Amino acid sequence: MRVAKFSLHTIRAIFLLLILGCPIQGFSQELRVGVQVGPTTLDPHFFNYFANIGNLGNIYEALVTEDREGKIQPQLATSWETVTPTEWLFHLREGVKFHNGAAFGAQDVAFSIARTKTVQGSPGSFVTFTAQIKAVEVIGPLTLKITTFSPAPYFLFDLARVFIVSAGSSAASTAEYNQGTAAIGTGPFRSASWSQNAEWMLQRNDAWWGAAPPWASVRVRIIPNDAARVAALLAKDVDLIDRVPSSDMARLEASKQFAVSSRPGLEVFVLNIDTQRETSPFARAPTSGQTKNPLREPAIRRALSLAINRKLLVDRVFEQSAVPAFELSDVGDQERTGLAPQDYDPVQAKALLAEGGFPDGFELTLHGFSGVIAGDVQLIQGVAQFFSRVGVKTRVETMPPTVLFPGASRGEWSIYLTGSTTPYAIAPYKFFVMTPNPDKGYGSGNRLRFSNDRLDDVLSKALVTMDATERLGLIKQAATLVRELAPVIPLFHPVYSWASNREVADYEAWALPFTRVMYARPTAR
Amino acid sequence: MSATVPLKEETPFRRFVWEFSSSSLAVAGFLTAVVITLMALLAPILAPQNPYDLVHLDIMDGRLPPGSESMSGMTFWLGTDDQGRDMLSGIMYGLRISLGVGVGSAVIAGLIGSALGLIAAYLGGKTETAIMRLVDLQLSFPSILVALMILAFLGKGVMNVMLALVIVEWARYARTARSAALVERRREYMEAAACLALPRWRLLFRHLLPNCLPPLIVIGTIQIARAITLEATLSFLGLGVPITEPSLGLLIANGYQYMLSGKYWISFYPGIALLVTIVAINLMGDQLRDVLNPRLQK
Repeated sequence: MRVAKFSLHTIRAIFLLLILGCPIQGFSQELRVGVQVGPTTLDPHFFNYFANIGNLGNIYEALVTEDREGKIQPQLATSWETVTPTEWLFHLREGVKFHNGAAFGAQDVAFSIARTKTVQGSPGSFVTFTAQIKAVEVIGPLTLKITTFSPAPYFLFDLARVFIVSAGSSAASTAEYNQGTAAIGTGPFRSASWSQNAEWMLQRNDAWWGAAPPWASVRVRIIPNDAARVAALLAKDVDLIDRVPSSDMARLEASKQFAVSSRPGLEVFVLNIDTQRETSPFARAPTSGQTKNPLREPAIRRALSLAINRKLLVDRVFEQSAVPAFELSDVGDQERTGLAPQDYDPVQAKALLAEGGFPDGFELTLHGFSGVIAGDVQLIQGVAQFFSRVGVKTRVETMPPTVLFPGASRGEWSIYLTGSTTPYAIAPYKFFVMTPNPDKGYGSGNRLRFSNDRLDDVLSKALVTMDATERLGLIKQAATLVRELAPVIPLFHPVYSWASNREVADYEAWALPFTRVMYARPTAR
Repeated sequence: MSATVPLKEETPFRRFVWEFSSSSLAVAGFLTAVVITLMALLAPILAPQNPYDLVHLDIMDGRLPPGSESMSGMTFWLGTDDQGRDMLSGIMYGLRISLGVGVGSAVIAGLIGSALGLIAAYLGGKTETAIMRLVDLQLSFPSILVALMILAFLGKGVMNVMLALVIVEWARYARTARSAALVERRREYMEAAACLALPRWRLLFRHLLPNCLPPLIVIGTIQIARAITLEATLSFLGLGVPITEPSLGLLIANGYQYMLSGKYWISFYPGIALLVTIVAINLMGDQLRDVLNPRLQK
């Protein structure tokens, strides 16, 4: 009997604590975030993947960083100058400390740049960003000179991807980073605990150099399923979610309880075309007895591009969560070519099909991915509808990206959906249409090996031209050539959206798919 | 109380029809199945739209609620999916694939499985051990898992789905056929036939098989329903039919993401069609089991 009485008291006490505890928890300054993809590692130099850069930016910092609009801003470097077109002088921020108390200095930058080249077993190396660095010279404790092999107008965008770790951690392996013992940066938050694909706990770094972040702790939950992420927000299990699916956008926007913020993302999705081979596995015209690859003809590729009503497609499939892409980079505040958008023209498309030698069209299978962004499967079917309308009998196959992209590299498809982030205007050109050259980092996304000397010339020149006007002229030339040759067909730029519980926080959307928790503003009570 | 009323000429078929129709549920199931089969077979004539021809779809008509009119004046009685595909036409064509794959794979699996079961029972010894252990092995894995593995290996496509379903299903027929045949082969008529020195194949397929048929027919109906469900599951998971030629499972999957946004009809109606089909077949199967199993008769 005594035992029963005691436990009754205990239960009462627990209830009382819970009731009292509730408001306390409300003021505890914990932000709960639901993200689609979490970090795959806590080693900032292991895997060059948008989710790693996005998430790890909460605990690590780089010399410079991109702001909400994708523009370069100072971070660990306060200012910089180009001594000669290949020599950059950086002045570093004073009084910065790593999470373990070690002071930050120029030698840490030199060490971090060198570390990108020594990380073992990387599935996507950060060397892309540091390959052009010829030498790093520590001039003073807070002064650093970096020499590049050739003039690099977009060098700062590359440096924004190289997170700085402490030179004192030189022996730390990727495993030690993942255990958390070596995951030490200078960022506004420190990693408290991490279990991959489940939850990541962040704690405020009270010694941070900037204004104190508004959250004492942040619980990042990884919720890959779109519907589940929205449901978690609706149930108030989380306060902020990224990648709001378009089907739920209207409902969340209409609700007074939740705030939605969107911005066109610096990312482009395109169809990549097999322009090189004599015969292609999924592009044929069996009825007219032709076996040659119709997609070798630039006229045919232009026809396909003209056959798509991008505005309508994006409007119907994504509602407000994408904008049409008429060029590889015509979004945000980037260098714009000013070319008039080449719009939907089925009549011209049919004429071009005839000009290319296929007046009756041909048979084509589009290969697309599923589960990368909400609406990807619907989009590729919509494209197939437009192709069918001009006489190209189109089928669609979708698969996970882990099957699609290796298959594309092996040349198994004729035309497939792919995408790339476009931190600066020329990045997608470098990625999709330059002849693949792994040493220089050209054409890493050119899986069907399109190659055109003129385009290569123009682009490689633009990549080393420091003068902005001259460079823009070259980009314009490249854009015109891409339109003429159509090795890729630009489709759309996704719009990135975040939704938050108005009672807890606001988050203004970024043009990059990064959830930087320190910018989540607590709602004034 | 016997329900059987003596007829003037009582043939086994008449008696079967009489007993089958003693359950009104079974008759309803049978009629529904007939209607569904007709709808599937005549889909190219009956359906207002060819949902598999992308030229006839217009993305402008996407996600319209039931009863809406299209740009060209056609009415979508059950609404449209995200591609502007008329759901009614989509369901009719989807039924064609679902029933085709279901019946086709069940029949082929039935032929292979029954033949192997009979052979195992008749020959005995090592042949029987070999076949029946294979059956045990096969049945110890969940069929959806086996089908997923086969499709991951073979790739998508209607023929591959059928092949996967046949591989998954034959074992059930084999087990049933063997147990029925084990009983039958010791009967006098088999001994008599054996005394006549008839060839083996004739003993097996003319004498043994017809007498093992009733349980196989029952298993067959249940397996058709199972095959349809499996096909729908595989398509729902994105491993079955091509995305531009959806079966019921894929139609449901396509609408799934809109369920929470109030656009219920994309998943709901194909789901109902699938449910009705399977329930109808199962009702028939249940009654067949009662009719064909003498032990269950009062």
